[in-house]
Amino acid sequence: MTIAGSLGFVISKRSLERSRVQGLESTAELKVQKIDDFFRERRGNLATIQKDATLLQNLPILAQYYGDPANPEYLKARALLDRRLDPISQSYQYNDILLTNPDGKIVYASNKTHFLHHLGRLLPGPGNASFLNAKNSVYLSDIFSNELEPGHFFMLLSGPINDEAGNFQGVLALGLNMDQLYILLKNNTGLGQTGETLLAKRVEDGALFLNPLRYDPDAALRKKALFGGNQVSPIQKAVQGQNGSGISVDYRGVQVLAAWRYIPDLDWGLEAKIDASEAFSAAHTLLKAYLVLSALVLLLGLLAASLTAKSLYNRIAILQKGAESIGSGDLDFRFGAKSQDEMGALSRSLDRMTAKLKSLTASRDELEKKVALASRDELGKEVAGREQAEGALGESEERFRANTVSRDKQDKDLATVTRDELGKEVAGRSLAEDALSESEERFRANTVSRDKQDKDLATASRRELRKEASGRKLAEDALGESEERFRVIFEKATVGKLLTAPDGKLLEVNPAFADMLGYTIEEVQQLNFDTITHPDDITESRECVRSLLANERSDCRVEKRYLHKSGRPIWTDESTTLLRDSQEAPLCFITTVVEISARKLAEEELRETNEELTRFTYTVSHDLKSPLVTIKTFLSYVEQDIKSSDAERVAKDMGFIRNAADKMSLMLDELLALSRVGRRMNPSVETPLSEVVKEALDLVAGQITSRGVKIKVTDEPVILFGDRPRLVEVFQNLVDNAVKFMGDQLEPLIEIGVEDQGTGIKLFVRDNGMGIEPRYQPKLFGLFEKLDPASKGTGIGLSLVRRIVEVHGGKIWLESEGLGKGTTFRFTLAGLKKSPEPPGERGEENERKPLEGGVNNV
Amino acid sequence: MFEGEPVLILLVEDDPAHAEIVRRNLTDFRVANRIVHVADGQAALDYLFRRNQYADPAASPRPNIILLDLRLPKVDGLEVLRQIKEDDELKRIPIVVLTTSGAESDMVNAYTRGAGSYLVKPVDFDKFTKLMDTFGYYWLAWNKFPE
Repeated sequence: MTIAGSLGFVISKRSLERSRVQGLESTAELKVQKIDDFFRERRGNLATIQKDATLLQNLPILAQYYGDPANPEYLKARALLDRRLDPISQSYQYNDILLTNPDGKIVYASNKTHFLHHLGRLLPGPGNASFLNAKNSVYLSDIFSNELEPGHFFMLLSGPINDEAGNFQGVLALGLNMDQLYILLKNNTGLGQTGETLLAKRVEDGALFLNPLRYDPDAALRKKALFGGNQVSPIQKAVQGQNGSGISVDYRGVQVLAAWRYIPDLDWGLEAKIDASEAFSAAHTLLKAYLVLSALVLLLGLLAASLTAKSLYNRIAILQKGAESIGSGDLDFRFGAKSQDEMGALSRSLDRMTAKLKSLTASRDELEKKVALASRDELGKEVAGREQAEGALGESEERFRANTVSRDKQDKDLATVTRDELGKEVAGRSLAEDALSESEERFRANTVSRDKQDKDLATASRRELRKEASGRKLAEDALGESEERFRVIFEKATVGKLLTAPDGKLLEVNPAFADMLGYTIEEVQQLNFDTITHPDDITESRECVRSLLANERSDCRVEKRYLHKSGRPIWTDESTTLLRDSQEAPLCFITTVVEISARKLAEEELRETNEELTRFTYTVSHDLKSPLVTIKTFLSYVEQDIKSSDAERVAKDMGFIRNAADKMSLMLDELLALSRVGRRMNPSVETPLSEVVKEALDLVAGQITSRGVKIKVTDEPVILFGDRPRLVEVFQNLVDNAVKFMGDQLEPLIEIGVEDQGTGIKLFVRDNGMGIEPRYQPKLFGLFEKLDPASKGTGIGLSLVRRIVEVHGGKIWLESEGLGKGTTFRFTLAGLKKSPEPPGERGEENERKPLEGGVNNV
Repeated sequence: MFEGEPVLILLVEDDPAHAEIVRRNLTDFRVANRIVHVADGQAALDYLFRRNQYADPAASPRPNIILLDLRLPKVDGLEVLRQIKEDDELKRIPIVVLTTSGAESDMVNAYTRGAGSYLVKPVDFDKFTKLMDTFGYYWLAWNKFPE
């Protein structure tokens, strides 16, 4: 960290120095520029005044009368000139505007204070240079001080005044106040607390400072940086005509950072400098600022980059979309990019390209149209016989299709009708089948005739081939089209179609058949007819093949099972015919296969329903009649008992009657409940297992208490979904059942819990009661089945439970290792799920916790 | 009315009331002196094959006739019938089905499995009584059993 920090600092110091130097250089440049501007402006002003008409008019008068300044002529001339020059003097802050006569004597001074002092004298400044040098050109004097205004410095900018004839009339001198210039130099912006700008001119032995210095206010024109020292100071370099920057030592001997410039117009040197101590003292502060700035720049950079990337991505997406559109034939797509960058240019060039492509396509389409029209005309001259054949074929196909459609519809209807209607339907279907067979027969005949015609056509075209080359093409097209037609019928059929060789090899199958068995066409064609046929149906299939080959019949129709790729059977209704060649030799079998799995399923369901109904009527007739027999019989016994005044027997017989009546009433209630299941359902709702169980336990609380049964319920948060009152009945019946068959268990216990061993969630109701021997278990869920004739109940309870579970998409079964081993009923329900709420505590132990409240734990 | 050997009837009936009816009607016949009643199919087989509580032959004398209900707990009447008829000794015992079911399928199944007679319990008391009378005369008075 320290090393990195130091390194960072060194780097920052170096970069700081660079930036400081750059700052100094630009400051120096700026000051030079300002000085130049200062003098340029005044030179311009000088030129203006030199040609001023008022000046030219009045100068001779002033020159004439300057010895008598009170002379009205002089006064008049001076007033005129004052009016002209005063505003100029004020605006440029001239210290004075002076005019000389051709001899160099001052005849006019704009400054009222020094006016009289100047008249008749020479121009101020060393050696009358401002007059002598200004006779023919503009001259800028050195800086000089004026005894009249000590502490102030001046320069004279002077130039000749010639009349219109070009005669020299005198010199115009503008007194420049150096304070103005010093103000410019003293503006230390960018030079910190220690910096300043030095101005100097070269003198023989060194650089003479021209301005008051920060650390030496009297330096101007007095202090020199003498040549010949150990070092050449920046200002010395500057006055010697050099420009540069760097670390150096200043006039005080202090290390400074400086930039220096030579000003050619003035032959001056200028130096902008700052103490090194200050320049680098702010390194850390600056570093911080720099880092913040860097971070900001980086951030802005990232933002800009992401914006750029996004807009770039959008445009690329547009280009891609466009490319896809154009690729798929939409030649009207235009990118319409307006941006001026490369992406825009690319879009526009693609647009241009697409437009070109479109025009090319258009002309190609035009060409193709023409060609197509030409060939259609040719085709128009087709053989008439072919059309006739096709007509017949088409008609037959239409009839065949209509029959197929009607048969499919009948199959569908068949699946939903009741048994009685089934019978009717079957009758109707056989009629339809007859019609279908007839139509198929016709279709076959047509196929044969079509084949023959195709053959004839081919022969004819072959003949034509020999005759003329153009006719050949037409004939081949016709044949191809006819084959194409057959292929379409075969390929596009929604029923399975297959061609089988007499040896059982599959020659060709259509996509519908391959789909039906879950294979690809290629896979099916690798298989043999026997391998895709259900083993139980092979015999019948072979018999079918045999009878067809033996010509015992022309058509064989069977309901058979194929084997799906997955191994499951597919019920089909299929019809097979044998195609023979002209010598009556077998060519191949043509089979049409219609899947009737749905119908078979419906039939199976119908059969099951019928069985259930039979069982129901049987049990009802038997079990409801039983108590009725009892009641009627014992009523008569009671009559006899009364006649014989046998009170004891009356009571006994009345007991039989009461029991039978109770049983009957219970049975009727439960039968009603059973019939309601699946017929009248309450809307399905999500209910926590705990609530359903609690409700069920409340309903059987009496039995639980009187038998002293302990109940333990899981606290796993399971949610049930379904008809809530029915689900309550499930638990009610199972618990009631468990209590009833507790046997002589001394510590009766019923557990209600949840299991999930990866094969789905199962609920269970387990007891430690008498158990059920395995051989009786299958009977248990049957209607009116009772294992114990002495037990109360009707034998409907478990039937009801099973029915409810099944209606809720579940299964129920029981497990018991036998007598005295207890019984566990396990069941699943559709929509059973663990609650998303975090379970309090999970696990087997909690299942054994006694249920609190609502249930009587004993 | 009739003199003869006392006849032992095995009544297989799950409904106690019906068993009572049968008992009352048949015990009125002086000849029918013994009725053994079992309430389910399994008990009937245990008795006949002398298993469990009926293992001691003294506790399970051979019945002369079996009155069998079809709808029975644990093992139903038709299964009891089948097992009896598969046993060489037991198959000699005539079986009369006495049930509330008049279902054709039950009758066919019962006769197929060797039932000798099929009686449907009448709901009407007089008819039930008359049926029992007739049964008694025929099976208990007239019918001869091997020793």
